[in-house]
Amino acid sequence: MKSLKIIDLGYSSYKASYQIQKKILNEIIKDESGDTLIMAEHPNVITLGRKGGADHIYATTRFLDAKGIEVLEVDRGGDVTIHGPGQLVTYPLFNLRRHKKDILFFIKRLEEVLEKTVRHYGLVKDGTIDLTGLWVGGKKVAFIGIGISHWATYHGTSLNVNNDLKYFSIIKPCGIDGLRVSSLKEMLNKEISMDEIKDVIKEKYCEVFEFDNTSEREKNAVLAKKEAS
Amino acid sequence: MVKVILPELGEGIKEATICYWHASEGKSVKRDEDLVEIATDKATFNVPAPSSGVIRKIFHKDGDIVKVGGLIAEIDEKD
Repeated sequence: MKSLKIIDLGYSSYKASYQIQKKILNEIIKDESGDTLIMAEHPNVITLGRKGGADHIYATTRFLDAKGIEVLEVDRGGDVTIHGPGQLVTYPLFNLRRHKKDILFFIKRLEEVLEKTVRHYGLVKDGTIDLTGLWVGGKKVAFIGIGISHWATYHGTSLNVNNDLKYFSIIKPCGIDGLRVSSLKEMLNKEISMDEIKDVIKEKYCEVFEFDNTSEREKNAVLAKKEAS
Repeated sequence: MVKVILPELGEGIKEATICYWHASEGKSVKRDEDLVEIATDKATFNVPAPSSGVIRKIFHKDGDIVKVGGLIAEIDEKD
């Protein structure tokens, strides 16, 4: 039986979530913990992956300070992105020795999870765009940037659900000129329940990565929130 | 001397960029500790030290693009 542990951090700062990721990642590397999926929503924060330069942020420091938007350089792949309330972030901490030691294969599986999640809401992936992430109707709705240590993964995906898209205008998302973004809310013209979509994405992770069940959600959620505080 | 090479990262990835060396020439490292962070388009990957010893030579600096299987460092196990 392959089981996936779920930790729902709810609304949690990027830094606190990162600390929890690294703690569990080290446990996974030492084989003290099994595959774990962390889910969270973050306050507005800009993160720069290893490809991203500060020149991809258009907003002034004064604007960012006034809005309380932190800029963090992080150890994931990819360029600049922004997180915010209403965006669903997932951190799959998986031991790829038990799946497949193949970076692109893992990224493709994450895309599949995202595609199946939005399909649940009647949205179809735009197959004409051959770039990493998830695109619907020419607009990017989900982003992927990961890190791997000892073939255990961290960082992950973010999916625009109900978040305020105007914040994307202060960066050059993914470093791509003229990139247009959207959200499920914008495409469906209605607010989506975050609890519901968390259940959907959790189910899709199980389907795509062939987990038989999920476990210890409540226990871990309480533990994680305590560690984050 | 133990050769450190850029490991296989899976199908379709032929090269990666050196991002950050966790240690420098002349420094001791322990087997399996993170030696260098490399990156592909959407992923970072920490290459562990294949053995304990002293780093004698680093062949690629931050920002260099290296092919999979390419020599990136040498570790002297004797020290």
